[in-house]
Amino acid sequence: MTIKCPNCGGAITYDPASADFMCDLCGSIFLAKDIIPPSDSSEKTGDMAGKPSSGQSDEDIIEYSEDTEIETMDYNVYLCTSCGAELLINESETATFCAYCGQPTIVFDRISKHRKPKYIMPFSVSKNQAVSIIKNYIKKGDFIPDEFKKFNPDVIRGIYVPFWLYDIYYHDCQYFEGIVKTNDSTQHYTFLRDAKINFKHITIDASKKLENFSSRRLEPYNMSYLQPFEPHYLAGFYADCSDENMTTLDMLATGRAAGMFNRKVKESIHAENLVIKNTSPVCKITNKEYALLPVWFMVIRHDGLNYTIMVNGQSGKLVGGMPISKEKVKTKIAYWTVIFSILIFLAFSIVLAAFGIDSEILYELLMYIIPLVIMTCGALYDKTAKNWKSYNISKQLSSEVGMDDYVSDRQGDLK
Amino acid sequence: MIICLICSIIIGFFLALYVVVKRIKDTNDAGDSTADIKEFGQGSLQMLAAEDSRLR
Repeated sequence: MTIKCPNCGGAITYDPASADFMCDLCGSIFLAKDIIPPSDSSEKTGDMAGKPSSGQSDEDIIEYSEDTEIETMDYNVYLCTSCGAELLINESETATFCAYCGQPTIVFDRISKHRKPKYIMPFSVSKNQAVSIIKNYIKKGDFIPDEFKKFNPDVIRGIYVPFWLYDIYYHDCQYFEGIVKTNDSTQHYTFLRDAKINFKHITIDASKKLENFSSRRLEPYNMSYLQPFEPHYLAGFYADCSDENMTTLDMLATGRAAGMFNRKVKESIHAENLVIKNTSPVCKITNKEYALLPVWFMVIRHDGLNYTIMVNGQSGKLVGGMPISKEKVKTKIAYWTVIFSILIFLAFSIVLAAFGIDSEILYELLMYIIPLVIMTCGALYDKTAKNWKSYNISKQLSSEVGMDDYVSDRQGDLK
Repeated sequence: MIICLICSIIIGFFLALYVVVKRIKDTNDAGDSTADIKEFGQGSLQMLAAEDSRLR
């Protein structure tokens, strides 16, 4: 898979910034068309076998079946003895540390045959751009510890993550019951919704290494950037292998399609307390393709934990929960408590003076004031808890906790 | 006045907590959104029939 430079014999790697191939040794630039031989495949990007047209009935939809021979290719498989990750690397690359957990415990394991992807989305975001995206985000973070900001940009790694792109036909006739409130009445209604949709390229990540929730946050990818797979695009990058079984992936894809469909149908009904009474879904996978999509991984170690920050290699979208400095948080809470308390106290005093409320009346009003204060605090606490929960999920996904779960799952309980 | 002061401090504390946590979520939690139907829906949802009827 190594492409030799015709001028100096050095290794040529893919350069996302120029979308061309560059020799690391002599700096020669080669156009993609000069490196990649023309494909004899008649398939174009985004072709969909069994694609249903809008006028077809459910019976006419052809369900996907894999009857063709699976193409494979050779990879060098490196194994991380710390977290158990397997990385597929072409022979022009040398792995010195694990791109997932950041440990220098990566060893060459074997040469292995793996399913050849049908498509690849080459990196559009270069290494420098990815580092700047992360740097800019971290710079803006008020509560990010100062030590975290001093990361080593050399540890960023571009990985092609395996995804299955699902085309799904979904049709359902649903009956709901709900309450419609008008100005002067409350009425019970039944709602019928018969709808269908052709989902195209629902992305489901096929790597156990990457949490599904994390990979979904990397979306969306612009599928017009997909190219027929050529091993040359792997030059200079890692590739992860598909290790999730197809039944699980099919379930994830159909579950996702159902979720999006149901959400969209419910949006078309303007009623409260909506309860689904009857449903008859028809869900057919019409096509699925194996593709490699680009992700930049940056592992930053802080306070004994590894934080994995990801950047979508096509759109530049940043994903990851950063740690917080407890001291900075405590200081800010104390600061804002003082400011808000003074402002609220002043507002109270002005209102009391304006309405001529003295201590005796205020004492009588206490039975109204206390519930009001409790309700206000309750509402604020509720919103705070939701935000905190959301942040914590991101932090857990990014930090080593998720990695430990993976190790237990893959290598047995090592803890 | 003491009642007002106590109430102000309590509300002030919860308000400060809300503001700080909201800021943490906004600046320390990158990319918490996921793609929706518009990213995958080819021509989006096609409604074949829709009927709303009042229950008696």
